[in-house]
Amino acid sequence: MKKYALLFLPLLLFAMQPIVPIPTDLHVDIKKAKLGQELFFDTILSSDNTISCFSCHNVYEGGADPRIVSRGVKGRKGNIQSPTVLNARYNFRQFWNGRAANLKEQAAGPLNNPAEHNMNPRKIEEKLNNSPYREKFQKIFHTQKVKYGNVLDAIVEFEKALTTPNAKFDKFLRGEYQLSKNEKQGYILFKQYGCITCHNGINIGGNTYQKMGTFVAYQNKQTYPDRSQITKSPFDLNVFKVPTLRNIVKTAPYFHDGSAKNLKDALQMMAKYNLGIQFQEQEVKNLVEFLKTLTGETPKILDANDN
Amino acid sequence: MTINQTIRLTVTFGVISVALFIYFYTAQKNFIKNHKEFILTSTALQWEQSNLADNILQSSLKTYFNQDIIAKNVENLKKTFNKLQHSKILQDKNYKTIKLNLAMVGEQLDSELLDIDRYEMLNAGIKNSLLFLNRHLKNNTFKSRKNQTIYFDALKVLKLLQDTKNTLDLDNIRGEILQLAIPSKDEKITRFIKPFNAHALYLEKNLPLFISITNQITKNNISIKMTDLNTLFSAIALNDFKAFDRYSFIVLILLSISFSLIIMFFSKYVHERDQLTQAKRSLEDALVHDELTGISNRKSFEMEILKYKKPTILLINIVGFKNINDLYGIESGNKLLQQFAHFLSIHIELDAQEQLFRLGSDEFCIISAKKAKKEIISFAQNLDALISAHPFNIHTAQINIQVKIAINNIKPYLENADLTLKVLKEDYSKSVLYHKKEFKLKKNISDALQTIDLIKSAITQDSVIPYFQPIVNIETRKIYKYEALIRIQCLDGTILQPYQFLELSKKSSYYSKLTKIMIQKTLATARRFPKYRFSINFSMLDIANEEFLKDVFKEFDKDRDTSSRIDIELLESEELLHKEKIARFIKNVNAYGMKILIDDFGTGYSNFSYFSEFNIDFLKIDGSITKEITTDAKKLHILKSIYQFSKGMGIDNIAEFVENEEILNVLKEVGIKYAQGYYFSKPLPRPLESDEIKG
Repeated sequence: MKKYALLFLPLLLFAMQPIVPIPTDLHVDIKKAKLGQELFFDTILSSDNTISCFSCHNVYEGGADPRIVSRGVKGRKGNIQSPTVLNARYNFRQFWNGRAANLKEQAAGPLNNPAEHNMNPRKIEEKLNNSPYREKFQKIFHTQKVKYGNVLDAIVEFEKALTTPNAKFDKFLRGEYQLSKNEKQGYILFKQYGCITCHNGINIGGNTYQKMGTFVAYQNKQTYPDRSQITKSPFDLNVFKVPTLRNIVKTAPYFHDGSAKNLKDALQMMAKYNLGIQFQEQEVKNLVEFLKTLTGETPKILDANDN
Repeated sequence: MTINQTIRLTVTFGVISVALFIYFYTAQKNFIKNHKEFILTSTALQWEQSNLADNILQSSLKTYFNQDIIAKNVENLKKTFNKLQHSKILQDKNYKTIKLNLAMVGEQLDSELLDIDRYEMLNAGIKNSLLFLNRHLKNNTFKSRKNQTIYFDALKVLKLLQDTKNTLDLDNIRGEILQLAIPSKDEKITRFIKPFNAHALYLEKNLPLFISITNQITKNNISIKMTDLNTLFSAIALNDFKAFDRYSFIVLILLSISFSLIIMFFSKYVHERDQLTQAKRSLEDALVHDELTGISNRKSFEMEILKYKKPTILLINIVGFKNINDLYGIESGNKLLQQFAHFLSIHIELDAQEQLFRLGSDEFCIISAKKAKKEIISFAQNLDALISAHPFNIHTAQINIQVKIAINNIKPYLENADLTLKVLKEDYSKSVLYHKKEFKLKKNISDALQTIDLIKSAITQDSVIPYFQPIVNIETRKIYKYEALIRIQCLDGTILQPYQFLELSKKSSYYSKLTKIMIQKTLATARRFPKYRFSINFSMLDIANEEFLKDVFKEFDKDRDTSSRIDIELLESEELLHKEKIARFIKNVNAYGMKILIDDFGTGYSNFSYFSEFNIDFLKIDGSITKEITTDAKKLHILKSIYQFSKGMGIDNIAEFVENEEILNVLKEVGIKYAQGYYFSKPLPRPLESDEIKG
């Protein structure tokens, strides 16, 4: 019994830490995920064969869109900055305003959005059934025809595989890496200034909603689909899901409106609007150093291009 | 009510009660399962809820808190609630109230979850501002007395705000001024106070909502509502349980009744079946048992004999039973039979698998499976002795009886035993006889009668015909003459051979008739074939029959020319009694130009006295010699002796049964003149036109 208790000990320790490392062992159905990967990269899932999921979620670089807003079919503009798809499985809800309870609900969103993939379930099934996908789906789902639900399942399975373990910071948490002086200093500031009150948990964010501008009101240049659109409450104006800070150096521009072009700007904006403080130059540097340690490994499923 | 109706009713009753039992058993089982599921889920919901409340408080108290825990709590809570809402038991309309109440809990849950989102938002800001104020005070040093006042004021404000948050009691700050006055234009002080005031203000503004939300969440509204709900649920469920109890009781009673009925009918059925079996058995008994003696009857014998592999049967017949019946009356005879049957049954040996039967009036039979011939004969003899010595009661007198016991073990068992018994009845010296195959001949009497009938009809329907077998001169290979052989042509075309009827005909008056027909028909053929001689078979019987001979010579007289080409083959027989008659007959036929042949010489009663007393022209050597002259030196010697003898007597020989060239060559070497047999030709329906013969 003691042996087993010892096995659980690290878990307990992490649980007491406000930040938890990403597990290194993934439990995904690899065949299904591979099919999902193919779909993720395939423009067949858009009305004019120009857009794929990958168009706005560069999974090789941060999993988000470097453009302020993404472009859908026929160059149609999106209404919000694309959040990263990496580690999305660890978010408590999906989309900036949390309107999707899970990845499957999320995946349906862009596909059916006229400004994005501009598809619908019937069109998706029709297109895939007239393609080599039909056979692939038969093999994996054992159905005669491609079904919309299974398309989402496959994509979701792929997205579940999109995790970035073994970030320096995760290694630090596991006692496998010693943070540098600056990184360490950054982490301490991160805690002291209260960043950690919102950015905690496995995804260092992504587990609560928060107002953009808790301390100082934040003026939007336009209306964004915020939390109030769901709750219909003025209290939730400018409220969004707290984004993950994992791989943050790779996911510029920042915030729902992409108003921060780099991390320094983003940090300063957070200090002003949400913390009611100002960071010193050196503090920003240290914080950036810390944030860099949150960059994890590229998801394994992307390495093995053997399909 | 007829039995059928009663049985149908019982079956219906039984089926219904069993069906009801199964239905209620399943329903009850499901109900208990669903009830349990609801209770467990409801408990889980309450547990999740209190767990959540606990974590909410922790997140408020701890500076650092992993909010994943709360997110996970919320997810579980939603799932559990969803499961509860879809509990199977709620599909029952009795639980409609619970469903409605649960919907209200759902609304409560939704608003609570919304509150949790807001709580987390406020908690973060408040925590951060308090953190800031603490850090702000720590980072700024206040050296002057005046500035120290500011420090203490600030400390007081912080303490008030901190207390308010920790105690969740707004009274701590009610009426208090939480903003620090800016006393001078001291830039450093201003730099301290401005942010301090900003955060203090933020806290002052947000704490009331934070406190009210926190209180709202930690009130455990859901838990309270769930407790009420569970009370209500238990009350409804209790009624259901009571109903189930009543139903089970009813079903139990129904089941008991149908079981009793089934048992009743079953015992009745068993009783009736026993009676039926008994009735059937006595009927069968009557069928296979002899009414008079009580032992198995002939019918039973026929069935039982089939069960034996190698049975031996002893057929026992009371000698002169008819006389007993005549003398003492049938009733006494019957009594004797009863005693006799009883006597036999005592002497049956069970270990030899023996069975006793009465086949007919005074005919009894024992089947034995095991005994060897010797053993069974001694058993029979012993039985015979016992019976002879045993006095049977007739009226007041005692008599001894004799039996005949026929033993047989060859199929057909009874027929052969019967046959043996018949033979035995004619033999007064024996009382026990074992079956022999020869007895079968006796059975042929009936066949013989049929054959006589056949001969009779052959004569009347003119189907007695001669066949002709050529006799060939060995030297010239030309047909010297034909022997006429008797045949009967049946209606279906088959030709009967002499052995099939001739011997029998000799014992009847038809024999001479057959010879006469042969003479007539051979004469007719001889007329058509003038270049051949024909020989006809005569027996001693024919010669002895004077009446017949008169008729024969009349025939010969009709056409003396043709008759001169007829020869007589005389069959040797033991009846060489009428020498004078034979001598006279030979003399008479010689007068027609006929010649005399002695048939089948070398077998039977070859009697040389023929040759001294009668004028014999040919001697036919029997097939039994001819056939073996190439293989048996003795036979060849006999042949040679006959030849030498014949030569000395001036008689020619005809060898019969010449079947191949080899035999013919030997005959030729020896000097035999004529041959007859399949080597040249078998008997033909009519003579050949040409006298040339192959072979």
